[in-house]
Amino acid sequence: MIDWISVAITIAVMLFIIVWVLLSMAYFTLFERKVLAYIQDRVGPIHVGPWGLLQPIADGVKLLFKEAIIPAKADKWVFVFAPMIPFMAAVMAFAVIPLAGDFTIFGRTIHPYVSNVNIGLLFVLAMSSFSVYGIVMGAWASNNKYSLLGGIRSTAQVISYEVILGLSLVGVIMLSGTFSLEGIVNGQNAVWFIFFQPLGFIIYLFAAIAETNRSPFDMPEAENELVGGYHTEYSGFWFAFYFLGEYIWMLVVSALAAIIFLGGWNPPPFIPAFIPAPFNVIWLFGKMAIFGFLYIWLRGTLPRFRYDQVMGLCWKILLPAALINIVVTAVVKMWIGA
Amino acid sequence: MFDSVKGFWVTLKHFFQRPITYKYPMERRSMGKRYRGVPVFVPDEQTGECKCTGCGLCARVCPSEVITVERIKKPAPAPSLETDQSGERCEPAAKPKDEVKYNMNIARCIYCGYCVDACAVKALAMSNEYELSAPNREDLIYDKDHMLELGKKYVKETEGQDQEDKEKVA
Repeated sequence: MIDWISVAITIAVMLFIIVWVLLSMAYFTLFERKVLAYIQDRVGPIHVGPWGLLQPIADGVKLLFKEAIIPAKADKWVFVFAPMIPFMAAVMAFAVIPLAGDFTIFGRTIHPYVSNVNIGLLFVLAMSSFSVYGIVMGAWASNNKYSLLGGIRSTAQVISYEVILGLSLVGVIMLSGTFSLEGIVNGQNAVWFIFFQPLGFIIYLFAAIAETNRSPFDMPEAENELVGGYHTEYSGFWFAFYFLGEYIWMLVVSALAAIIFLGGWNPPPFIPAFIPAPFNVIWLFGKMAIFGFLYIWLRGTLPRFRYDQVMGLCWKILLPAALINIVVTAVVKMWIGA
Repeated sequence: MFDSVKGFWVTLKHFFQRPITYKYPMERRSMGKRYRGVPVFVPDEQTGECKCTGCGLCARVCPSEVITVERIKKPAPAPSLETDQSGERCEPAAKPKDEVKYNMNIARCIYCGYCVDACAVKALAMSNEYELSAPNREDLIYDKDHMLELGKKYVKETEGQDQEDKEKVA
């Protein structure tokens, strides 16, 4: 017999997460504009709604009403389908991210995540690999050599830093013994993993910022914008999808960093857990907000890397560092275990 | 190597400082004392009328040739033939003031202030008005009455400032 209540609960949690992700992403764009503005001694959007709070809605409406042009010689189906890939991959990555601890209502245990696969972390990494297709397909379908070049550069950057992303997380996986994200949070009840894996955390930060094509690694979307870049030929609605994808990836990566290195929904060690589940999702949101601020702070401070510097950094510096991190973690773990 | 770290501290510091934006049009900056806004006619302190005599010096000095001054002379009235009670001739009626047609095209004006400097009777002044847009070009050709109105507003705004600054002596 199908347990209809379970199904209903799962659907409710899914809806909640989807709505929360979309709203968060929209307001993250506003957060970015305001924070960048205050760093630059100016105010951000202030006219649309108090403190500009309705600005993301205005932006969304504007993008929907813009004329969506498909170049005549573009490959139409691929062109239309390509932007949806990063967006879909990013939202699917949220299926395995737990927001808070388990809690019980009326004797039923409710899990505030969509699914708790044993390989949760691998699933997220797989989704990030999958989203690269969106860039490649968009660049190819634009039928524009500058778009192609920009897209190829971006693809190369993203796949290189995926390697680093994966390797930087291996240390954490060794410490917690499981790929499941809920298991990783539960493994941090004593000490957060950032204290055990400081080098891993720094490498993860680099990799995360490069994965999402953000400053200072935003060569694919900045300089090429002057000439091309994979989203040149995209207007209005589909352009919006690419940026939705990028911002939702930023949310995913911030959530992962908060969960893996900063203890997820647990409060800092010196503060007792006075907020019951499920409301201790506030701690997770707070940590994600810190990461969001870090992203924007980096964008407001640093000039961008040149492309060869980006690749050199990845393969010549971060890869050896990640490998050394893994070796040291393994040795220390064996030594303590023995 | 630590310069990039110091850079982060700079941006963080600026994040917490007050922004320098004026939220136009809710807040406006006040202009300096010698700000060159649109030229206006300063009303005479006693009579409240325009001091312009129609000499045309401002039109001659204007580098953009935006001022047109036309002075229509009114003839003096003929001497009166009436006698009053004591048998003396009456004073003739007052000579009517010459009519001055004054037009300034502020769309072409370069706001240099030469007309103010050239005016022999200090009738002109550069006001603080900079919001000058109009729906059509004809509205941007100011005549004497409009400039006098703006001048009355300007005098009221700058009441209390130094006389020397108000007259914008070169």
